[in-house]
Amino acid sequence: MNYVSVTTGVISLILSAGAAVAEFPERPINLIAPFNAGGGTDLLLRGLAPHFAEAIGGDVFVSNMAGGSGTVAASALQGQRADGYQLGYFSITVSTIQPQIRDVPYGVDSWTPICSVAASPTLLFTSADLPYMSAEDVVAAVKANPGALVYGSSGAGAMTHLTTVAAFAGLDIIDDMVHLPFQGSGPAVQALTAGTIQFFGDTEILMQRGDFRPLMVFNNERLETYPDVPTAAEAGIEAPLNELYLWGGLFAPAGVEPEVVAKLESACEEAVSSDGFNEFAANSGTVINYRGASEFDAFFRAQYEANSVLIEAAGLN
Amino acid sequence: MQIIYSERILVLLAVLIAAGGLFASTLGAEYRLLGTVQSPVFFPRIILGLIMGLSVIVMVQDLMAQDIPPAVEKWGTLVVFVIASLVFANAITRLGFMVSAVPFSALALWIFNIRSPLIIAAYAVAVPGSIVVLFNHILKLPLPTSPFTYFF
Amino acid sequence: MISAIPDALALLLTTEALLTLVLGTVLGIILGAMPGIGSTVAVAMVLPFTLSMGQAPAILLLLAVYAGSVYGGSISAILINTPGTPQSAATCFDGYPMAQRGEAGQAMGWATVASVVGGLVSAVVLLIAAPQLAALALNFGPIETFALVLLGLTCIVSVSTGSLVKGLLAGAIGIFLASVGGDPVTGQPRFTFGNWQLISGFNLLAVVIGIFALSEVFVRASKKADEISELAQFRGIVIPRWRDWTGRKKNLAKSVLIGNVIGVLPGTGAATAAFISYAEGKRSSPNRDAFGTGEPDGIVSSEAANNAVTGGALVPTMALGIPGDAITAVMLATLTLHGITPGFRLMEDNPTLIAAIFAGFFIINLLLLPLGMGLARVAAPILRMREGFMMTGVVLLCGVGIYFVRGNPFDLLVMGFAGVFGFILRRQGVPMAPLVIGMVLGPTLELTLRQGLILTRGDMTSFATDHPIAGVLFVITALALAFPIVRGTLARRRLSKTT
Repeated sequence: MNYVSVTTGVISLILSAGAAVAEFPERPINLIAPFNAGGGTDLLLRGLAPHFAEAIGGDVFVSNMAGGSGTVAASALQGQRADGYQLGYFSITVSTIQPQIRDVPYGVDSWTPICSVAASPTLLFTSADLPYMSAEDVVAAVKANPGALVYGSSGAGAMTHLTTVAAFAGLDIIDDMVHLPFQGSGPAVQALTAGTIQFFGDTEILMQRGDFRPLMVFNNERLETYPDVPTAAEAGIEAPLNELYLWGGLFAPAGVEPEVVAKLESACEEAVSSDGFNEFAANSGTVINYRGASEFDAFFRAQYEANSVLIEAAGLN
Repeated sequence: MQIIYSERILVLLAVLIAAGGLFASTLGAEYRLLGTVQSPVFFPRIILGLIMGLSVIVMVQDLMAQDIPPAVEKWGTLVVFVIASLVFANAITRLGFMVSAVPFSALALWIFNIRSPLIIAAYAVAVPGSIVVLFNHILKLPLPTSPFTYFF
Repeated sequence: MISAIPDALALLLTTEALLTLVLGTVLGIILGAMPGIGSTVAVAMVLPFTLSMGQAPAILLLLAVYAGSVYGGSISAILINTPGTPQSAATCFDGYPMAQRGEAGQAMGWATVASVVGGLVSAVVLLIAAPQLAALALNFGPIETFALVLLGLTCIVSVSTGSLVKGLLAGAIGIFLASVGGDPVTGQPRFTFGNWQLISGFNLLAVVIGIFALSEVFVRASKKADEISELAQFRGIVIPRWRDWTGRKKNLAKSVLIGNVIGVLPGTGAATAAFISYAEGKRSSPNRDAFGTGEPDGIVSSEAANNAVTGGALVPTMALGIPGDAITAVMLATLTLHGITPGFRLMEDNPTLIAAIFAGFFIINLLLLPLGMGLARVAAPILRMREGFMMTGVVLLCGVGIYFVRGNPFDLLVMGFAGVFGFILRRQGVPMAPLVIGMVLGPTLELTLRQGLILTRGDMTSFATDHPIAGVLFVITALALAFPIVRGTLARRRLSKTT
C-alpha cells in the first residue's frame, strides 16, 4: 500500500515538477467553453483552437462544460491547478456579472487573465413594423401609456438583459416597462418578430436575423455599418451605462507562472492576428479585440467594478 | 401493524417528508422580487403541494391493497454492485476513464457470474481501451485522463 | 422554391455530396445509438470538419448526422431501454417490451419504417409549404406554448401503467426535479442549499439514463439467474410486411402530421411531439389496449412523430432565422461561418441552397432504411453476447455518454443516484415514464406559465379568452382527460345492461 502510494507520488512528482517551464507545453492544452457545443462561444473557441495550437507548438483541444449560465465551468476551473494547461473562454457575464449576482466560488481575484479575443458592442432594437424611430419616441410612448411596453431578454442577468436595462434605466423609464425573459436569444427574437415584445438588445450579427430597426448602439462611436444609428451617449444615456461590449477572453486559474503566461499570451496574439482566424471572424461577425495579459487584467478589473452599477439598475443584486 | 412498516409505506413516507421539508424550506427563504414577476418558488410550491397530496393518496391505496414488492434475490450482490457503480461514476473525472473503468469492469463481470480470469482480464482491458482509442484518437473527443499520465 | 429544385439536384448529385450524406448518416446513427451522446454532441463533433467544406456539403453533413442520430436514438431505446436522446423516450414504452419478448428485430423494423415515412413526408411538406408554416409559428406566443405543453402532459395518463395516481405522482416528481436550480425567470437559485453544482440543476439526460438504463442493470444484478440476454434472437431488422400495416396506417398518418406541426413551433421540440403523438395513438388506435406492452402502434406513434419534427424544426430556422432547437441553432451558426446571414431574407436570397437542403434531407431519409439495416446486421453479434458483457458495457457507455453531455462531474453522480432512486421507485410499482415526461416538459410549462402571467398581469382567465389558439388547445386537453373516463363509464353501463 505504502509502496504504491510512494511510487505514484514519485511518478506524479516527476511528471509535474520535471515539466520545466522551458518545455511548456509538453502535453495538450484544454480550452474550456462554458456553454453547450454549437453555441456562439463554442464556435469561436473551435475557430481559434487550430491557430492557437499552431502558435504554441502543441496540441490544443476544446471541451464543453455547460450549465448555470457559464458559472459551472468557471467554478470548476477556479479550483484547478494553475499550470496553464486548462484555460476557460469567459465572457463579460461569466467573469464579471455572474459572480456579483450569484453565490459562486469565484470572484475577481480567482483568475490569471491571459488575453482578450473579441468584443462586440450591443444595440437596442425594435421591430421594423413598430412606429418607434428613436429613443425619444420610446420615452414618449412609455410616458403616455405606462406599463404597456415589454422588453425581452435571453435570461435574467444575460448580456441582452443588461443592454435593455442600460437603455431604459439610462432613459429613466425602466419602472414603467415590463421585462419578459426567454431561454436564449432565439425565442426572444421570435417574440419580437411576432409582436409579443417590443424591444430587445443584442449584437449586430443577431439583429440582422430579423427585420429589425436599431435605436442606439452602446459603442464609443457610431458603427460603420449603421452610420445613422446614434450612440447611446448621443441618445441621452450617461456613463457608465453608455458603453456595453460583449467581450470574451482566455482565463487561467490564479497563480500561473509568469513565464507560462508570457508563452500563452504570445501564442494568443499570434493566433488572433493569423489570417485564418481573421477570415473566420469576418464570416462569423466576430469583432476581434486583442489585449495582452496585463492590459486585459486591468480592463477586466475595471469592468468588474463598472458593471456593479448596471447590476444595481437591473435589480439583480 | 406489520403493514405500517412495509417497504412501500416507508418509501412513500420518505417522499412525503422530503416534499414537506422542501416546501417548508421555501417559506423561510428570501427572494428578490422584481415588479410583476412571481417569486421563484411560486411554481415549485404548487408542484410540491401536488406531490404531498398524491403521495398520501397512493399511501392509502397501498395500505388497502396490501401488495408487496417482489423480493430481491441477491441483496449482498446488489449493494456491492450499486456502490461499485457510484464509485465508478465518481472516479471517471478524478482518476480518468481508463483507471476507473478497468477495475469496475472486472468487478461487474464477476457479479454477473463470469468467472474465467482470462475472459475478465481481456474484457476489462479491451473494452475500456477501445473506448479510449475511439474517443481520444479517432473522434478527437478526449475522455478524462488520470493524474498520472495524459495518455489515458 | 420549387423552381430551384433542378439547380439544387445538380448540387446534390455529385459523388462528394452523396458520400457526405452516407458517411454523415452512418456516423449519426452510431452516435445516436450510444446512450447520452445524442444529437447535440454528434452535431458538435462534426462541426470542425464543416469549416473547410463548401456551403451545401457543410449543412448537408450536419443534417445527415442530425437525422441519423434521431433515428439511432430509437435503437438503444428498443434494445436496452435507454433513450439515446430524450426524443426517443416514448419509443422505450413499447419498443423495449417487444425486445423483451424476443422481437427486437421486428420492433426496430417498425421504428425504421415509421422514422423513414415521418422524415420523408416532412421533407416534402417543407419543400412545398415552408413559408406558410413559418407564419403559423409566429402565432405561437408563450401562452399558446403553455397550452400545448399542458396537452403534452396528458400523455402521463396514457403511460401510467398499473396505477394512474402513481403515474401522476411520478410526473409531479419529474416536474419538481426539473425545477431545481436557477429560476428561468429571475435567475435566482432554488433548492440549491448553497451548493453551486446545483445551480444548473439536474441534467435531464443524466436522470433519464440513471432511471432507465442504470436501474435496469441494478435489477439484473439483483437476480439469481444468469440469463442469456433476450436479444439472443436478434439477427437484424425485420421490416414489417404490407399486410402487417392493416389498421395501422391511420395512426402512422396522424403521427406524421402531429410531428410536422409541432416541429414547426419553436421551443417545444421532438420530445413533446413524440409524447403527444403517443397519447393520441393510445386514445385512437384500434390497438390502444396493448399500448405499453409492446404494441407496434406505440413505436410508430413515437418514431414517426419525432422524425417528422427534424424536418419541421427546419421551417422556422430557414424561413425566419429562428432556431427551433439546439441543433438547428448549430446549423444557423454554420451558415453564418460560411458567409450567409440566416434570417428572414435567407429563403429569398439563397433559393438554390435552401432547396438543396430540403432535397438533401429527403435523400438522407431514404438512406436511413438501407444504412439502418446494414448497421443492425453488423451490430447483431455484439448484442448476442452474454448478459454480463452487455450490462457491463451499458454502464461503461452511460458513464462516457453523460460525461460528454456537458463535461460536468456532478452529472455522473446524478446519474448514479438516479439509478438508485429509479430502482427503489420501480419496486413500488411507480411507472418511470411519467417522471421523464414531467422532467422534459416541466421547465417549458413553468417558463411559459410565468411569461403568460407577466403578460396578462396575473389574469389566468384571459389565457383562454384572449388567445383563441390556446383556448382550443385547453378544450382538447380537457377532452383528452375526460375521454378515458367517459369511455370507461359507458363501457361499464353497457356491461351492466347486458347482464
